[in-house]
Amino acid sequence: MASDAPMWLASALAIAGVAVLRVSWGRAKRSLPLNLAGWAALLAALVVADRAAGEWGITVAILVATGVAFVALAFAATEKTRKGRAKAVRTVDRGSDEVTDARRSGWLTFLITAPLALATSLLLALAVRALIVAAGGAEADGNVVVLAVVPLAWPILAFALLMMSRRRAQLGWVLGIAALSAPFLMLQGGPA
Amino acid sequence: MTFAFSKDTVRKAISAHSALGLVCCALLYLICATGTAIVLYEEWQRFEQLDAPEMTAIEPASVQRGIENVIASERNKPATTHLYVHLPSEALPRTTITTDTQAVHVDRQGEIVVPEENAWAEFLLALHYRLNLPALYGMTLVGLFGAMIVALAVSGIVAHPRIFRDAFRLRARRGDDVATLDWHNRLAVWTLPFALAIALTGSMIGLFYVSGGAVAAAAYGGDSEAALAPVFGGEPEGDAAPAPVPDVAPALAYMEREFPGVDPYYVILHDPGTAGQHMQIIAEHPRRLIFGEYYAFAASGDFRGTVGLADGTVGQQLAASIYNLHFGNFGGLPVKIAYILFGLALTVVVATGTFIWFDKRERRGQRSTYLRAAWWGLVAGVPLGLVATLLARFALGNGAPFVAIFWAVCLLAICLPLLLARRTGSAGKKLPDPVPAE
Repeated sequence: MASDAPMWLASALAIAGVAVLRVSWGRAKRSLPLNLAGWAALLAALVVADRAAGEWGITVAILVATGVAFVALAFAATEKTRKGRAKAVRTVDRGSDEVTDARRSGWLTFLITAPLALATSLLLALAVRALIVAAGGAEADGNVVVLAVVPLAWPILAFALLMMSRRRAQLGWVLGIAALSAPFLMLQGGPA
Repeated sequence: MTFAFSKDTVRKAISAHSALGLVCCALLYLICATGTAIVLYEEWQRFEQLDAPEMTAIEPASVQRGIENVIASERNKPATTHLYVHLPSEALPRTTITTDTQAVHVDRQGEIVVPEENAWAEFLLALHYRLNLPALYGMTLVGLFGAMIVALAVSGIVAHPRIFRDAFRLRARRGDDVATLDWHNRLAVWTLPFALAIALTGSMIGLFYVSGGAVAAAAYGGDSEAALAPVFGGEPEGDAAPAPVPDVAPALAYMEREFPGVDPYYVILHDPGTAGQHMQIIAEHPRRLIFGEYYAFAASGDFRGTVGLADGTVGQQLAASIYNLHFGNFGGLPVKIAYILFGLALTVVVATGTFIWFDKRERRGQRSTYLRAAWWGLVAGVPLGLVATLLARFALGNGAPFVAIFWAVCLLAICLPLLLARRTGSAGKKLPDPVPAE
């Protein structure tokens, strides 16, 4: 079907992109041209898919690329591997229970990264909403932004807080963002 | 030029990644496993009730006849506030009419044939959507765990310094800790776009009570419907005075005539039989992620306009795309198969993540016999529980106690390996030699 041609092209580019990257990353020495060709093919796949069918096309192209990568992984899984001894086992790197200071309360860490960070993310999302509405944006956009920002901001904030070694830094970030966002609660307006 | 995080950053990221994973692993596994199964929601419904009438299309006049038959069958009951007609679609080629109190399948002529019996599919959906808990708590919990997949994805990227170099390396045939690690890392890397899409959309749906409630509280005096109205449209004022049942036939004919490029699949009657009644037809737009567009009609069948899910603001289109993107019902069976494959991969990623943590503990000399046994129990118990409930559906019928059966099987599946580990003493897993992970 003629109208399907761009989507087939996007799919072919996605397949080619993953295949080229497979070849490139499988070499003993990296090849910059091959790497660039692989990424360029993937980018082209997204552009063509977007032109052909917008967000639907992009989603399908990503599914195709992921599917091809799974095929490559299936082949990799059947390859015979050498079983040797490690000079150092990367995953024996210290885990959470070792890194954490024994005096540091896990419950307080949970309180900061879960409810406190979630509340801060809510305030941040409402601040973004207030800015959109104040800038003349659509009420629908403002409301949907809140739904979208919370699941994005909270996990990133929680991860960032877990990366911080000092309690003071954790509290500083979470309370700082909350303090900066809180005044925007006064600017929510309401139905236009 | 190469970009790499410092060793200290990677170490902290691994620490954060394992902390997040350990807190979330059990429910996350359950959510991923049930999410994979629910991709086939429509197919499960067909499988559950093989004798329901099927058709590729239905005449508008038959739809109207079906509505009148259903309303007539409820003459001695309180009037329904909403009536929904599912029109035959590719995934579910059935015409089903649902009111406040019943759901029935109708045939091509609009005659009521059998009550809808899809309790297992509904149980599976409720298990994934809200863990069989009340919606407020269950959906919020699932939403929180969805957000944690985002945190795990981000921390996993930072914790994986050779994300690209190792992207196609899968030493599965080693059958040891390295193989477990490779399965976890490779599947996680390649399912990253899928995982982020699923997690963000799932979290947006699940956290609605929290984030939507916050918008409602901050800007609409606590009125959640008012907060949603700019996105999905509002409900007009009702008028309870009696009126004849609306005629959907002219509305469906109008859709066919004026919007031939879209596929109507749902008719909603608001307050049928009252003077305030009105209709909405939801039509799927081919090659769009949106679940559809609302086409509003007066009870007389006069077209009133659309809400704007297909061509309104970015926020409206985004909100309307969440469901299809999450459940994978935007491209027929091929997309569903892809979602099942990647959903299974994500489930494996969650399962292996915990096994990697056990392996790490054991390399440090800390035994994990009972924890490992319990985790194996859960990993096997969830699919076993689903199979047991499906068997119960056919053995005991639509009214089988699915929730009790599922959780009992899960509990048994966890307890049995624990008892076995206890009986075999300290056997468990022998402390392994160091293994390479280069």
